[in-house]
Amino acid sequence: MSCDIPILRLGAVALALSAVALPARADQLQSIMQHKELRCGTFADVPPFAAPDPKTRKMVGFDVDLCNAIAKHWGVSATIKPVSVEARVPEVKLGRVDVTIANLAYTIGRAKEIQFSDPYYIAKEMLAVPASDPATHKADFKGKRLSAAKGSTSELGVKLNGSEPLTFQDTGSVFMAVEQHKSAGMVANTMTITKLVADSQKSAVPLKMIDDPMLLEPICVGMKQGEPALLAKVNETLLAMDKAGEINQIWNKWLGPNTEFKMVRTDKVVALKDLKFDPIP
Amino acid sequence: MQGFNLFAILLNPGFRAMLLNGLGMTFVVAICSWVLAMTLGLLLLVIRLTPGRIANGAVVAYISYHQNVPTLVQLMLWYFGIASLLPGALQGWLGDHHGEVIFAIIGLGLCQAAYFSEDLRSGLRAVGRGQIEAARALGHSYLGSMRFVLMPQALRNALPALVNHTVSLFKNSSLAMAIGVVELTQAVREVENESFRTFEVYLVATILYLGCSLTIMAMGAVLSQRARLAGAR
Repeated sequence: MSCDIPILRLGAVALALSAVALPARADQLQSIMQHKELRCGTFADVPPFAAPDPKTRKMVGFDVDLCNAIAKHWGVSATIKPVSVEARVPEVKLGRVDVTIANLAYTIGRAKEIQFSDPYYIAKEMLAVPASDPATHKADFKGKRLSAAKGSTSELGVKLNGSEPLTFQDTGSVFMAVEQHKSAGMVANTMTITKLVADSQKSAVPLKMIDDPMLLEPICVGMKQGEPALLAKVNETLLAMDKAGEINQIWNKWLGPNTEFKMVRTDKVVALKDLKFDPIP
Repeated sequence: MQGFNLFAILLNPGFRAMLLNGLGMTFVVAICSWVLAMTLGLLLLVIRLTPGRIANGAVVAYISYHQNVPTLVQLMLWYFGIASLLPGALQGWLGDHHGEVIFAIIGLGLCQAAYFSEDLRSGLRAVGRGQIEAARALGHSYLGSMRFVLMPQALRNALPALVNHTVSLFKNSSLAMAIGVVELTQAVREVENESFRTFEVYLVATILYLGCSLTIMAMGAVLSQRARLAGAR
């Protein structure tokens, strides 16, 4: 079919445009409440955050439970939409999902595209150095060489600290570099550093963890920009869930001391603007 | 998606400095390892020409190892393996003084020496037997006939192969990124990580590598032009 009369074609375009534009103008929170459905973007296969259960084929994990809990508070049903790691920001920006709950760290670049809730967890990049090193602060390693994985946020942490990065493809080499005195220390996430420091106690060069984190990565819920009502509601719900101990409960089920990850959640939900940190560019 | 914009890379002072520093490091690694490889290659050739059977076997073993084990493995062996056998104080000193660059030069240089030595040997074997006999008959000593008669001809024969292997040494310098050297390829990856302009930054790298490799080949062509005998084919 073709519209040969220009005015008709213009009309068709205008009609199509208005059909697309109309729902977008409605408040997203209202729309969620009307449809009684909260669409959550999660990882497709990243345990323990969101991955299909081998038996039931249903999506399970920390992020899935968090999404379900939020939906329950709102009296709506949750729909889990697995998205690829790179699509976490675009999917929510384009409105294909209402919120992204996928271990999403706040960065300046992402904050230009979407809006972030208050963080419910703060991931940290930590520094491990030989136990024999008398230094106790990350500032002591300014200008020194620190090893990290290539292209990681750990490498970014090294640069932001004013240290010189020595980078390798895999964590094993990053660790070996410290063991062989090729670097003054290594940077990785808390989980990795904790494990490596424990492993290194039997080696020739035992390591220790420096207390102050190299980098803070607030983990937040991602939403479309220009939706203040939705943002306020998500923040309010996260705070209420945290006070009631609900987030800790979900945390302990997937990441807590009785799981293989053995992580203790000490963070509280705090307003993003009250958090003092150097945001990742 | 952002559109193609080469100037976003070239006009950004931070990115430009990263790429130029990377290029500089590529030159340092390539030139130093070339000098090491050529010196060692000549030494290996001299040992090979002596009649000693054990010395000969050692050179053959050296060449077999360096030609048949991936260069990346050789670099890893130097950086993580052999380095760990050194005394702690030396390891610490190397760590403070860009040990990865030193080991990259050693690893690449030793590997390339095997190729250079074989190139020179094949060049020497292509020189007719009559040449050494004539040189000796004219009263040159063995070393004298080598120096004035055989080696100039051998070098001329070996030149194309030497130029090819010089280009491959230059390109192999990018393997040094695996042991943490921030040479051109690593710098490119870092710029890509920060700018997300994958196509542009790899295009810049391609042009830089291509330009340098073609320059090496052009220099080789000029050299072989000069070395050509009048009337030779």
